[in-house]
Amino acid sequence: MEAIITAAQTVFAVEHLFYLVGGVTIGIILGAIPGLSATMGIALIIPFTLAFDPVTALLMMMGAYKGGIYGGSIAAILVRAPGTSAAAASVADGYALAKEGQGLKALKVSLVASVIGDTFSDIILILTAAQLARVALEFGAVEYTAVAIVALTIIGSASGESLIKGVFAAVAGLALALVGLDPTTGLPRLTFGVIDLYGGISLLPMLIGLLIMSELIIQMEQALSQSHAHLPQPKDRDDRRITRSDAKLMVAPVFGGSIIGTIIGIIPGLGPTLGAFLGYDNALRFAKKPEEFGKGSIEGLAGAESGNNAVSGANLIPLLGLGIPGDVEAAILIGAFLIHGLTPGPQIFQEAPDVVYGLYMGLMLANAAMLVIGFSLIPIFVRAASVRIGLLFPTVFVLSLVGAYSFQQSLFDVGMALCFAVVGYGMTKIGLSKSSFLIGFILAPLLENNFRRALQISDGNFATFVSSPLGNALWIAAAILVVWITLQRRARRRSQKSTAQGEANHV
Amino acid sequence: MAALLLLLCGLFLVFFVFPGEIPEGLRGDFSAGHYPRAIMIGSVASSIVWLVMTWVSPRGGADVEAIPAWRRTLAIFVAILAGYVLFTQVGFIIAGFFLIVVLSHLIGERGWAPCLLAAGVPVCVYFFLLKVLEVRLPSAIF
Repeated sequence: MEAIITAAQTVFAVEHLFYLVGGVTIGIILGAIPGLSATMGIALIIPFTLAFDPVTALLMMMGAYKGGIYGGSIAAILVRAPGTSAAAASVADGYALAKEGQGLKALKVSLVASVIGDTFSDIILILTAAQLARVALEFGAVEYTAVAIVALTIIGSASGESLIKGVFAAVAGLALALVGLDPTTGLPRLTFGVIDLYGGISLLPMLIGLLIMSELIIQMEQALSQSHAHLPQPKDRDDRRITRSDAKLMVAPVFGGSIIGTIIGIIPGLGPTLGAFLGYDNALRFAKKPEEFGKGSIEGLAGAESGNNAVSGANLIPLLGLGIPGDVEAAILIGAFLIHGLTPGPQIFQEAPDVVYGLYMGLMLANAAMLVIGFSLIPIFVRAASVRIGLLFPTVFVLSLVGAYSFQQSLFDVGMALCFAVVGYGMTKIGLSKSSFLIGFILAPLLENNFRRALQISDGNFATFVSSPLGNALWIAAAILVVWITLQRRARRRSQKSTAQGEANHV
Repeated sequence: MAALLLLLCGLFLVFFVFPGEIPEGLRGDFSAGHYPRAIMIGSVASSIVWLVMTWVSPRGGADVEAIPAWRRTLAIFVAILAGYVLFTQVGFIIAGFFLIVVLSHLIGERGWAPCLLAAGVPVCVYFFLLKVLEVRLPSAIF
C-alpha cells in the first residue's frame, strides 16, 4: 500500500505530469513525421531523460512510446507513409478517407480506437504482470536460458523479407555483446586494449547510431523533395468528426482488435504488425459494410488501430513479468530501464514496487493524455506530417549527437554512435535487420549469464537444459513459436505473390 | 557478395582474433571460451546459409541495395566526419551550425532558413542542456 501511495505521489506531481504529457506530445509528433518512427523517437528521448528520476524518465518514455505508435498512423493516413510497420494496415483505408476530405475523421477514429485498444491492454497488464512475475521468480538459470531463446523468436517478425538475414543479424548482435569483461572470469574480451570498451559497448550510443543516425543518412541520401500532407478540405461538418453512425460501426472492430492485439502482444515474437493486420482481418470478417474495406472503411481503420495499439500495451507483460521484450520498441524500453539502473523482470516487483505502480498509473494517464492531446492538437500533427525534411533531418542529426554525448559526457560515445551509424547504413544497404541485431544485443546478457551458470551448476552437463519441467515447457513454447512464425511468413509471402499476380493479370 | 564478405569476416574473427582476445577462463570452468566461440560458429553458419540462399535465389544473387546518388552520400559522410572533428576540437555550437548548414544544403535546402536554424538550434540546445540537464557540451572555443 505504501508503494502505491509513493507511486501516486510521484506520478501525480505537477512536473511529472508535465513530462508525461510532453512525452506523449513529442512521441506523436515524431511518429507523425515521415522518415522518423516511434522507435527512433524513443531512442532520441532517452538521453534527455537521464537527469530525471527513474519513474519520471519511464513515464516520459512510455508517453513517447504510446504517442509514437499513434503518430505512425498519422503519417500513414495523411501521406501514405506509415511511421511503423504496424501502421501499414491503416494506410489503405486511412489514406482513402483522407483523399475524400475525411482526413480529420480518419485521424479521430484512429485516435479513439488506439486509446481504447491501449487502455484495454494496460488493464490486462495490470491484472496479469504480477502473476507472471510470481511464476517467473521460480525460474532458475535453465528456465531463463529458455526464456531468452523464446524472446529471440522475435527476430521472426523483426527480420523483414529474409529470415536468414534476421538470424545472422541477431547472432551478430549476440557476438557484439561479447565485447567487454567476461562475466565469470572478469577478464577483458575483444577489447583490444581499449579501456573505454571494458564496460562493453554502451547501449545508448549504439541505439542512437544504429536507429537514428543511420536512418537519417539514408533519408538524406534519398531526399530531394519535401513531403507534404495533402488534406483536401472537408465537404461538411460530418467529415470532420466521428458521427453516431461511425461510432456504432467502430464498436465491434475496436473490441475485437483490442482482444486480438492483447493476446498477440503477450506472446513475444509476434509483433504489432500481426496485431494490426489480424485486427483488420477480424473487422472485415464481422463488418457491416465489407464493401468499403480498402476504400475508406471506418471499421477497417478502427480494427487495425485498436489491434496495433493493444499490442504495444500488452508487450509490457513479458517485459515486466519475465524481463524479455515483446517487440523491438519494448527491447528499446528494456535498454531504457537498464540505463536508469532498473532491471525489468520479476525482481522489479520486489526491488522497486513503487516504480511498477508508478508505471501502471502513468500508462493509464498517458492514454488519457493521448486522447486529449490528440483531439486538441490534430492541426499541429498535420503540420508535422508536412514539415520540411531538409531542415528537420539535419537538426535531428545534431540532436542525436547531443544525445550520444550526454549519456556519459564522453566523446568516445559520440564516435561510437557515428561508427554504428555507418554500420547501420551498411546493414540497410545489404538488407540486414537492425531490429534483429538490437534484439540479439539486448538479450545477450540474459542468455549468456544463465546459459553459463546452468552449465557451471551442472559441471558442464548439457542434459541440465532438459531436466526441468518448466524449462521443457518453455523449449516447447519456443519451438511452437518458431513453427508458427515460419508458417505465418510463408502464408504472407504466398498472399503477396498472389496479390501481385492478380494485379499483373488485371493489367 | 555481402554474405561472402561477412563470412570471411567471421572466419577471420574466429581464427585470428579470438585466440588472442577471448580468455579461456579458469580450469574447470566449462564455457568461458566456448560460449563466444559457439556464438561465432552460429554467425559463420548463418552467413554460409545466407550465401547459399543468395546463390540459389531466382533473383541471381543481388543482395545489395543500390546507392541512388553516391556523390551526395559520400558528401554526407564527409560532412558528418568533419562535424565530429569540429565537435571534439572546436565545440558543439560551431559543429552544430556546420552540420545543419551543410547537410541542409546537401539535401536541397536553400535560402536563409537553414542558416537561421543553424544559428538558433545549437545555442538553444547548448543552454538547455547546461541549465536544465546540467550537461556541459564541448565548447573549446564557445
